Amino acid sequence: MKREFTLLSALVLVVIMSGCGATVSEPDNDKIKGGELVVDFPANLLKQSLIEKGLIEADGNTTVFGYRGYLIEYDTTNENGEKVRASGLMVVPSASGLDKIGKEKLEYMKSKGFSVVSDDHGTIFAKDKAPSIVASMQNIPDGSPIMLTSLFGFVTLQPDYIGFGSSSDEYHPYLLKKSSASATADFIEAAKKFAKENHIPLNNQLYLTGYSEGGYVALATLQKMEAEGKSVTYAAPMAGPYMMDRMAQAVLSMDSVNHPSFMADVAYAYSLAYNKDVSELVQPPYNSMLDTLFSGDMSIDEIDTALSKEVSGEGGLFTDKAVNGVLSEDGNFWFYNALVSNSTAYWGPKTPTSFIQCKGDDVIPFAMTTGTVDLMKNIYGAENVNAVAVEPVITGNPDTTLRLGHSECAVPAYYVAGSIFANIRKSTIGY
Amino acid sequence: MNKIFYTALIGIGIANAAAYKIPEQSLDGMALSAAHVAHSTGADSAYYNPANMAFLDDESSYIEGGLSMVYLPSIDFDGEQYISVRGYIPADAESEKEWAVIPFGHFVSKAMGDWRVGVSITSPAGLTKRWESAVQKGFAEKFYLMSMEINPSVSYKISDTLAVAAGLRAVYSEGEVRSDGSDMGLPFKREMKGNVVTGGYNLALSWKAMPDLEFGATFRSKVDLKEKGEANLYIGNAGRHYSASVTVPMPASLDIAVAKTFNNRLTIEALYERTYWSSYRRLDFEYNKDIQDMLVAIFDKPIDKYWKDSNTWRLGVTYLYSDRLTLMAGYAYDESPIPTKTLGYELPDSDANIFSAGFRYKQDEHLSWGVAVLYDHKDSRSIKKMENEAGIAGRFDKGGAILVSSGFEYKF
Repeated sequence: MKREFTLLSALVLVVIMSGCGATVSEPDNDKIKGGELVVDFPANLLKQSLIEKGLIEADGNTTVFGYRGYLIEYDTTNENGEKVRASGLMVVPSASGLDKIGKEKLEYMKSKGFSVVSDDHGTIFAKDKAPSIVASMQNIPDGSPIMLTSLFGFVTLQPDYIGFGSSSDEYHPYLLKKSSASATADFIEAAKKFAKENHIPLNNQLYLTGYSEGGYVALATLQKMEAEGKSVTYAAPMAGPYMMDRMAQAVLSMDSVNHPSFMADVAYAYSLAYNKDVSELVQPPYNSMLDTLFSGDMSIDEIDTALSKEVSGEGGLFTDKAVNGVLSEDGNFWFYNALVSNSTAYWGPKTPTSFIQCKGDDVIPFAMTTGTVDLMKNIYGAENVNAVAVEPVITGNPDTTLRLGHSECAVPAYYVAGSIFANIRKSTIGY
Repeated sequence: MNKIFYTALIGIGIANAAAYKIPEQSLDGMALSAAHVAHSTGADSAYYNPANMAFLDDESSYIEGGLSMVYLPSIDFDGEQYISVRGYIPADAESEKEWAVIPFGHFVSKAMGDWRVGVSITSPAGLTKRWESAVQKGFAEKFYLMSMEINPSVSYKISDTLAVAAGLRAVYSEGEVRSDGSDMGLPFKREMKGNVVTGGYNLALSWKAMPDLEFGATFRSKVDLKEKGEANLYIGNAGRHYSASVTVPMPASLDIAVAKTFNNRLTIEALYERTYWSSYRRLDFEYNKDIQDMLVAIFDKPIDKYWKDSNTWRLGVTYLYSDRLTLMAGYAYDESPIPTKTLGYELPDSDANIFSAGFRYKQDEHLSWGVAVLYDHKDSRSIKKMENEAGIAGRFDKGGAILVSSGFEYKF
C-alpha cells in the first residue's frame, strides 16, 4: 500500500506544481517606438458621450474623430540646467469607430498632414492629475484633447511639466519661465520625432495654447522658440499670469485670498529655484509645511485648507519682508527680481498671438490680458497681438453681460482657441 | 511543457450536470448516471460512498483508473441582446463545440481491523464555454473552470451492517475568463486567469438493512474556489494589468440513496441529491487597485447570481449477465439551479434528462474493464424581454453533452 500512496502523492505533487495558469502577460498594447499607447477610444462612443453631455448637437452632422493617446518620455532641463526625464501625452485623431464619411475626411487630413497644437495644462498639485497619468490610469479621453483632437482634428501635445509624470521626483517649477518653456519646447521636438518614427503624418503647422498656468507656459514657450528661431504658426495663451510681479502685487495687497495655494506654491518653487530659504517669504508654521503640501500627494482643497487665507500679518501666510519687498518693487529683493524676470509679458512676439480670457475671470483679472497686449504693442512693438474676450465670442453679442469665472471659462476658451486655429488651418492647409 | 502535461493529465473542465458540477467520476458512475451511492462495490466507493469501503473484501486492495471523453455540442441562441442606449439588438449565435478529456482514479486499501483507507482523484467541477459571435463574445468569449480533487477518506465498520466514513477534500482549480465587446462596437476587453488550492470535507454512511437492501448517505462540504491571479482590462487597445481574484463556490451536496438487489443478479438503485447552489449569490471580481472608471460598471460591479438549491433524481440498474459480464444503465433528472433573471452566456444551463449505459468485463480474478456512455439532453430555455438582468431575450437550444468513459479496476 505504501507504494500506491507514494505514486498518488507524486501524482498530486506533479499536478499542483505544474499548475501555471494564474498569470496573464502584460497588456498587449500596440507596439510603438518611443512611447506607449494609453488611450484608444473609438469615435462613435466618444460622439455618443458628447451628445449625451450636450456638448455637440445630436443631429449627427458633427464629425468626431477617434482618440489615440500616447505617453511619450523625453529629456528636458530643469531650472538649474540639469537633464530631467519628463513625460507628456500626445493625442492623435484615429479612424476607430468612424463612419465612411469620417474616414474619408481623416484620410484627406492625413494626406495633408496633421497640424499640431501644443496645449499646456493649468495648475495642478496632485501627481495623479498630470495628463499622461490620467490617460494611463483611466484609458479614456480627458480634457482639452477631446475638443482639439476629436472635434477640431489636431494632434494635441500636453507636457506633464517637470514635477509630474516621469519627473515626479523633482519639484514642480511653478511659474518659472525657463524650465516651463523647456519642458514644452522639448516635448514638441520629442513628439515630432515620435510621429516620424511611427508614421503619424504631420505638416509644419504648430499652434501654442494653454490655460491659466498653461497660458503662462505657452507664452514662455513662444518666447523661447522665437529666440531660437523656431517657427510657430499661431499662439493663443489663455488666462495666464503673464506679469508675475503684478500678479504677486495684486495677491499680496489683499487681506485674504480664497486659494492661498497658488501664491504659496510660487513662493515655494521660487525659493527652491533660487536656492533661498522659504522662511523669507512664508511665515511659520506654514513654511515648514510646504514640502508636504506640495509633495504631489495633496489636492488643491487640502492645501488651501491647511494654509492661512490671511495674506499677511499675525497668523497670515506671507512675511512682511515678502509683502513689503514686492509691493515696494524693491530692486534689491531677490523675490521681486525673480518675479519680474519670470514674467512672460515683457517682450514683443512676432508670431500672431491672441490672448484669450473671460472678462469675468475671478482668479486672474482680465486686465492681465489687456495689459499684456498693450505692453507688447506699445512698448515692445508687437504688431500681431490682440486680446479676445470669450463671452462676446460665444454669445455673438459684443455687449453681452454674461461673465464667466476662471474655471467656467476654460471650455469655451478652448473652443475659441480651437476655432481660431482651425480657421487658419482651413485657409492654409485646406481642411 | 508543464502546461501541456497538465492539460493532458487533467483535461479541461466541462459542465455536463447541473451548472458546473460533474458527478460522473468512474466507469460505474458514468454507466449508472452516478446513482450508485448505496451499492458501490469497487474502488470508486472511495468517491461515491467511502462508508461502503468497509464492506469490500477485507483482504484486497482496489485501484481504478480511466478516462472520460467529453463532447459538448454547440448551444444555439436565437434572440436579442439589450445594450445600453442601443436597445435590443439581434444576437442569434451558436457557441463553439468543445472536446475534453477527464481522467479519474480511485484506490481502496485492505482492511486494517475495522478501518479502511481510500483516496480518489477526480474533477468534480468544471466549465468551458466559448463564443466567437459578436454579441456573446462581449460577455463570454471564454469562460473556463477546471478542478482537480484529491479526496482521501477513512471508513470505520461499526457492525456488519453499518459503517461510517469521513474524508478530506483537497481541491486545485484553475479559471480563465475572457470577454471582448469590440465586435459589437464596445471597446472593452478582459483577460483573466487565476488558480487556487483549497479544501473541504466529506462524510458518508452505509447501512445494509438486509442482505439485499442497502441505504447510503453522503455529504460533501462547500468549497469556495477563490481563483487568484492576474487580469488585463482594456479600453480599445490600451490596457492595464492587475492582480485579481474571483470566488465561485463548489456547493455542498447531500445524497440519500437506496439499492435493492434481486436474485443476486439485478440491482436497482435510486438516489436523491440536493445541491446547495444557493450559496452562489454573486460573482464579484476583485482587483488590487482601482480599475479604469469607465470599466467599473462592466467588470467590477458584482454580478447577481442568486442560484437556488437544486434537486437531482437518479436511477441505476445493474445486471450480472454472467460471471464475467456486468451490464449497467442509468437515468437522471437534473434541475438547473440558475434562475432566468441571472442566466448568462457563460453557462446557459437548463434542466436535463440524462441517459447512460455501460458494461464491465471481468478479465480474470484481478482485472476488470469496461466502457460506458452517457447522453445529457438539455431542455431548451426561453427568456422574455426584461426578464434577464444581463439583457438576454431569446431561446437557448441544443447543447447538452455526450460522454464516453473507459476504465479498468485491479483487485489485489
